[in-house]
Amino acid sequence: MAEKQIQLLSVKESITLTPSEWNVIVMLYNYPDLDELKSKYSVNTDQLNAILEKLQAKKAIQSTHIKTLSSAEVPSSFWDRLEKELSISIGPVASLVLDDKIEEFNRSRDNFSHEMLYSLVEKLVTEINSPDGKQQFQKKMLTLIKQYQGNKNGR
Amino acid sequence: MKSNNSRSPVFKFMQANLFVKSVIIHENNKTSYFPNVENGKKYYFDTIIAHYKKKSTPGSHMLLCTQKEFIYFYQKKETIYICECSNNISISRVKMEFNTFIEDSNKQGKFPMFITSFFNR
Repeated sequence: MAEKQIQLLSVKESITLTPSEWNVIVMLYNYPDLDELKSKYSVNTDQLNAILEKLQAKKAIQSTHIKTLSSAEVPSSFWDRLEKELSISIGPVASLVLDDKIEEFNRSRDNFSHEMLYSLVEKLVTEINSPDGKQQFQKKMLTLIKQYQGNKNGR
Repeated sequence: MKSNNSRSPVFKFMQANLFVKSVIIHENNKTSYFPNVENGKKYYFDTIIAHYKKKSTPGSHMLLCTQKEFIYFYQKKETIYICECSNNISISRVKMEFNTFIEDSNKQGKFPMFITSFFNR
């Protein structure tokens, strides 16, 4: 698993922070561990990640990925299954479409976080034409993600 | 409107998805709350529903983000479904879970009967 560690940086030039960015700095100061921060403040992961990216762009923080022993990366069996289900809906281009959508997250199959799976499925659903097909695929993916998360937590 | 039947499909959905705080269903100018909410909150939801109805069409959806919650609106035919949930979860997941619940319930036929029992009183 690639776990994110955030480090506050000393700023050499003046920067402007929005209230939400400043709030995240305060939270990071109190809870440098991202998982602990999330549990203490019940923040939305998508929003938090977006703010962290902005802070990193402003050079107020540094984010590093540390390899840990536990694995939250998506296993290849999950990708195989997803691709198979997608190919039922959109045919042989499923693999290409899947890789394109993963790329939109600036990730690859090897470093895709399980937290982004729901967003990925939402993007993939837009490629399916039939409303019934969309619904079926979405439902199957919900079950699959839950199964996978269940297995991961049960390890 | 009282709606505290723990065996209802809505409560089963809430039990399966613990991030969901409440589900509100609006049809025929009547609103049902799961679980039942206090009057202040009813007024809050009624006001939002009135605004949403002005622009919404079947199939449209809207998301409100508050400090603690996501409030997701979805209109299917003439019925407006609202899911209030904690905001520490992926929005995509909320949409997927709620849409699947609505579609499933409508397909199975149990849900329309259940809803009708509330709204045709």
